[in-house]
Amino acid sequence: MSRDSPIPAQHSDLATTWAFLEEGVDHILKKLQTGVSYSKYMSLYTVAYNYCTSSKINNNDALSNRTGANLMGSDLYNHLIRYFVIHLKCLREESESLQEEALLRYYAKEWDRYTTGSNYINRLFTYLNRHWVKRERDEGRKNVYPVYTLALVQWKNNLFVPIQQKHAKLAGAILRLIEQQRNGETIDQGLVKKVVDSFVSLGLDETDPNKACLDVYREHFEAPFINTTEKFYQKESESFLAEYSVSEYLKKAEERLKEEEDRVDRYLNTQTRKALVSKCEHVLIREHATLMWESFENLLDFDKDEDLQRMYALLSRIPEGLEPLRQRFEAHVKKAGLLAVSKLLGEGDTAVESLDPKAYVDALLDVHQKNSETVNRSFRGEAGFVASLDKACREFVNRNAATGTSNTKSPELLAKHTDLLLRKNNKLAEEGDLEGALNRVMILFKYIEDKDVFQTFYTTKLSKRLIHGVSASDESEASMISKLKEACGFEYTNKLQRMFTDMSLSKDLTDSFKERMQQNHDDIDITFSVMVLGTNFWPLNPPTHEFVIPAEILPTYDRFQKYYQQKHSGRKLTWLWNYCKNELRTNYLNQKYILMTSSYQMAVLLQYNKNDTLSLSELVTATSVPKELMTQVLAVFVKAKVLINEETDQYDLNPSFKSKKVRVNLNQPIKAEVKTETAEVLKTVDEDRKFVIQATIVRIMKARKTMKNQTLIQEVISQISQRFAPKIPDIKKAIDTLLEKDYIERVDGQRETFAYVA
Amino acid sequence: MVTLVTSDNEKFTADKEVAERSVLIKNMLEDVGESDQPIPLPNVSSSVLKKVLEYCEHHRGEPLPAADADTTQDDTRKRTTDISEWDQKFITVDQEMLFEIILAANYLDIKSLLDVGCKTVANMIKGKTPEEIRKLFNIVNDFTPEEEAQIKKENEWAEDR
Amino acid sequence: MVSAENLHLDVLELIFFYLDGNDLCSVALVSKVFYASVIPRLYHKILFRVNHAKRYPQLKSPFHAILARKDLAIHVRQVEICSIPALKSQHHPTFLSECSQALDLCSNLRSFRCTENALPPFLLPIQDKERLQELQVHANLTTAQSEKLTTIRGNLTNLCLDYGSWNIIDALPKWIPNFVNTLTSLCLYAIEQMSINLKENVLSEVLRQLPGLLGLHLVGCGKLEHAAVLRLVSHTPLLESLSLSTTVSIPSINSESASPLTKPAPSLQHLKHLALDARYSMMSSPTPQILSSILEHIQSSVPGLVSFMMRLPELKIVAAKDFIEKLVKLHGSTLRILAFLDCAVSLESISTIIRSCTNLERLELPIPTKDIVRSPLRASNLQIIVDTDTHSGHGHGRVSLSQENACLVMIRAPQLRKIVSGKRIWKVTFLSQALILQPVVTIVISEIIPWL
Repeated sequence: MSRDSPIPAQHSDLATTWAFLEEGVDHILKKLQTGVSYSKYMSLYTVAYNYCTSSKINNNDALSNRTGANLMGSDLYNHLIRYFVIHLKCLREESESLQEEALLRYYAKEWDRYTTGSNYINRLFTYLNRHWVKRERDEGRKNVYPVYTLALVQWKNNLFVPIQQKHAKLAGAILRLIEQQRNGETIDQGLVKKVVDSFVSLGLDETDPNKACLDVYREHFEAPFINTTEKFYQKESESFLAEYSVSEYLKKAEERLKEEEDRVDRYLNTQTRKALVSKCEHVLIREHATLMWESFENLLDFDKDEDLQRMYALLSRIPEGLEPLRQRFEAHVKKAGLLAVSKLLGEGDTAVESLDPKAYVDALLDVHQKNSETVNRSFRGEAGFVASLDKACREFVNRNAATGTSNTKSPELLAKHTDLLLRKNNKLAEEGDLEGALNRVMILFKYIEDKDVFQTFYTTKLSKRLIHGVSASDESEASMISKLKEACGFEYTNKLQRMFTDMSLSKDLTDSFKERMQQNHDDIDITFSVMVLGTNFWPLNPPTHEFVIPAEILPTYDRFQKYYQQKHSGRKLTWLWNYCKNELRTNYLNQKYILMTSSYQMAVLLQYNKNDTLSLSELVTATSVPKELMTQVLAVFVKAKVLINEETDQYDLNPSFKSKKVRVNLNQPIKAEVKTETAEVLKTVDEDRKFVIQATIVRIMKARKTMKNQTLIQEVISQISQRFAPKIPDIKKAIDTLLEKDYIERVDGQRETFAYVA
Repeated sequence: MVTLVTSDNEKFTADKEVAERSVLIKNMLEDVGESDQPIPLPNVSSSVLKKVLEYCEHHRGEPLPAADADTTQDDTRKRTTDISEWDQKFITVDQEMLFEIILAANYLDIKSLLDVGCKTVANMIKGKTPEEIRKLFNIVNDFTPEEEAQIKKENEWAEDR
Repeated sequence: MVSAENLHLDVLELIFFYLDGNDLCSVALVSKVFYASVIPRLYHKILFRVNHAKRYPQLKSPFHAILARKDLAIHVRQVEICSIPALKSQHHPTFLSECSQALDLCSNLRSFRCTENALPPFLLPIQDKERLQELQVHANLTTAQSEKLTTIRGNLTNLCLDYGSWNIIDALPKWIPNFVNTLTSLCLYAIEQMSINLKENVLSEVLRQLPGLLGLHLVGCGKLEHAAVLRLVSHTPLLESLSLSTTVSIPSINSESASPLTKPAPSLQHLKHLALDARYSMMSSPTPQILSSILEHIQSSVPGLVSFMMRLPELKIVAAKDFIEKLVKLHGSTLRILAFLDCAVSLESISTIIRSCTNLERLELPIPTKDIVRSPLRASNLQIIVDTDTHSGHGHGRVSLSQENACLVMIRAPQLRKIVSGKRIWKVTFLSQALILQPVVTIVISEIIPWL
């Protein structure tokens, strides 16, 4: 400090006081770097304090107001304003010759110095702020601010606005720097930030000077900035697309968007982010969305993962940007699915009937998996794309070249494939990936529309596996059932679970029966095991013809019948001879063989205990097995050379039967049975459906009492569609049936309205 | 430690933390930076500064009021005239010293001390007639009888009845 | 030499900030300096009450003074008109005119209250008050008047409408959104009873726009059921205080049945103050079950109440023991203020409260004047006891609290500093360890409307 002027005494007049204060203020604003001493600081504060508190109410009119104090404060305040105005006028004059970056540099430097100094002055005039300014503002005086705010207001009015009025010299210079940066040049970002920040600081909330207000920033910078941004990218994107591919453009747009977001972080106010980003999105994405949509399929066809990801990311930023992609994706997946099946059929002209279930299932799964991966990888597993994938899969799984118009083909093939998986000797089971294969089955199962068809096929196949003991493992069976239960609920798998219960109960029953027999009879030389299966849970039918139980097993039959009736009186046992398995030991040959046979085969062979030669009619009479079936049974024996058929309808025991194996399996399915199986299953499905539809109608009507035809049908469809897609004629037929049976009736006088009959 | 110099040229040293109970001193140390220069306090005499430092010493470490805490405008603020026991003993001084402390607290910007002083004066006024107040503070009635009557009439509504 | 007169204006204003009423009047008469300094404080709040109204026009109204000296108007921040002078059983026209003219000048008005049914003349002058934050008015308005009221803009933080007509209620959904960023407290008190229903959907529409509301008080709003109020507050999860009337929807012959509370209970994580008013029940005495059911309903979503107040229809009715036990069980550890108005509290219940509410600072109830010394105040943190039995003058043979009993109570309760009973306040001052009881005669206003 050069020289300290003497401190004015208390009660000095305004001129003396201000002369002292002005010198201090001037020093602080112009050469603060040279420092201020404690004593100077204290004397400035004290002089301001003394002047503010020197008021005396020496007005004679006591009943008027306390204008004295007001005058003191406003004296200082007005002098401060006058000082700021003059100071800023000098700065403005100096700035007039400057342009562009030089102007920005000058402005930023002076801004720094001015705000630092003003902060300092604000502190020196704390007393003025604390009392006079506060009171004035409290009493509603406009345009009175704390000293620091006052300094900013003056800066704005006397420097900022005049410069800006000349073709927005300041903002223009910033915008040109930003354009240079967009064109790849290096600019002084710190400088831009400083000037931009000053725009923010100049905003003033009249009611609360401490509150941030972006008025000035918005008007003088943000609006023109957004404007130039729009123009810049409009031009750039158009010329870029004229020269490069969409893939290249995607990259470019992505980079530009990131760049602009970075720009906000680096030197703009965060409030600008939203406006800037949405403007860029509009210009860079929305304006070129149609082009992107159109090139989407091409990218899919060539598995351009990266481009797909990029396109997804960009289009997800604008409203409605993804919907066209989803639609195109759905069509793409559907096409791929249909193509895969056609290809399968095309290979070697495979007939639909002999289509390999595994090949079919694998083909469908491949398409699903590939596209599911695309959804997860390129579309971030977005729900809309998942829905499109599901919709497409549902379509091609249920309707493709293999199914034709039949809704039952896919569930049938899937059930058959599952059966193969769950059977013993399946390679997958050995590899330990059975669980994975079952999970894949469930993927397709989810898309199957007629889940009841699958259910029926599955039940049939399961019953076979259980009866014949060819299931791969109980564990896998249980696992599959729990998957189905999870997908379709308890009701869907109830029967399946009962089948397992029957199996384990039967095992216990056989054991306890054996034990009893050992206690009571020692003459038994037959090994006997039995399965007692609930009629309602198993898709099994008894033989349609009589069967004479051979004398050799009759005692066992009777004993079991008696034993069972004792245990469960009132239950009816139906013997399913057509599903039985028998093993016979030969004693008539040099070597002992074990012949594995069906019941009918067993009955025939047992006849030869008494005779060596028998005619066809004799055998039919002895066993009651129908002739057509009998011929087939005999044909197997003849082929295996157990019997010899040298004369028509006469069958002799072959005394020189030979086999490489000790156990000879004669129990082969008879052709007729295989063919009818599928047809029968489908017949069962139809019967079940009729029943389900009727039951559903009754349930709905019971709850609603009366209902219009149309709403009833809709309700039925919505309730059943989980299991299968009911056909409207079937529902109508069911309604007619129920009308006939008096479950429901037509309401008089109201067309097409039904009422529940209690 | 900082050195404070009073109007009668006496030097006091105090912990920085204690001296900074005065927002004026705190701001100045922040603005100018610390040095070993003495800090002149031209408006405070040594007898008053001694009392003020005693107060600051006792209350050291307590939180300072926020810089822009608005005090007078809101009526929800409790206008309690309760004063803590220590402060009450501290402010039990003669009238002149009381006023000196208030002025010093106002000058040095020590809000809590200013409050204590003002509350004490307010408590002295409470329940007294105008004449008693004049006597208490040795004030001359400068109203004419007419003015007095007019004011009385005008403010009658504000009296509790 | 520094004297009181040297204390310049800035300091004098700070001193006078701590003074009220009579003291301010006295100060004004001391000297010109004092007069000038006390003016802002004196005119800061204008309260015009029944004792003013009775003496009008002999007593000059503050509004008259403002009209005579217009520079006073800028100091006025609060105006509260509780009573209007009458002339030939009409509202005094001179008063209404000077009052509305003066209001027009008060550009810094922050709070305006008019609890008399005389709002219309003031509707115009209170327009365009940029700083208006609190508004409490008797809102029995016509459609045209409602329109005028609802043109008020600005930054209202507190709005309270007493005795609102259907016209003003209908206008709420359009008006309230203007204060969406500022309004923290809304109070609707005694909306035209019975004749008009305060519709739940109207309120729902209003409250949906005020998710930041901190205080909601719906008391005596016609047939608005407490179940409905508890549904409505799901819009205002930040609520800190809530007042509501308990209602009984159908006055059936044998039992009173409130409509069931709708599950799930609203989330009221911030609720600290709850007031239940049972005066508007259709039945003469609401069963404690209703009060208990409300506590249970909000039990899981309210962490702990700091204050609780309830009001029953009559002093004769004793607040149910079970209910009080439930209350202290749920909120005993957090309660600091507890108030029972227009009902009796048994000595046993007082014991329960004192024992369980360890943080209780203020207790308001009809003091059982004779038995109070037997209540176990010893261990409590109680600082203030307020007697809410204000009917002692009406001769139902109530013994007022004796100095001796007050003294005994004070001695036994270590933290107790104040007992307010009738028009007397007993305060404790410590002077060198000796306990001195000073009866201070002061009027206690205990018109307790919900917390504002």
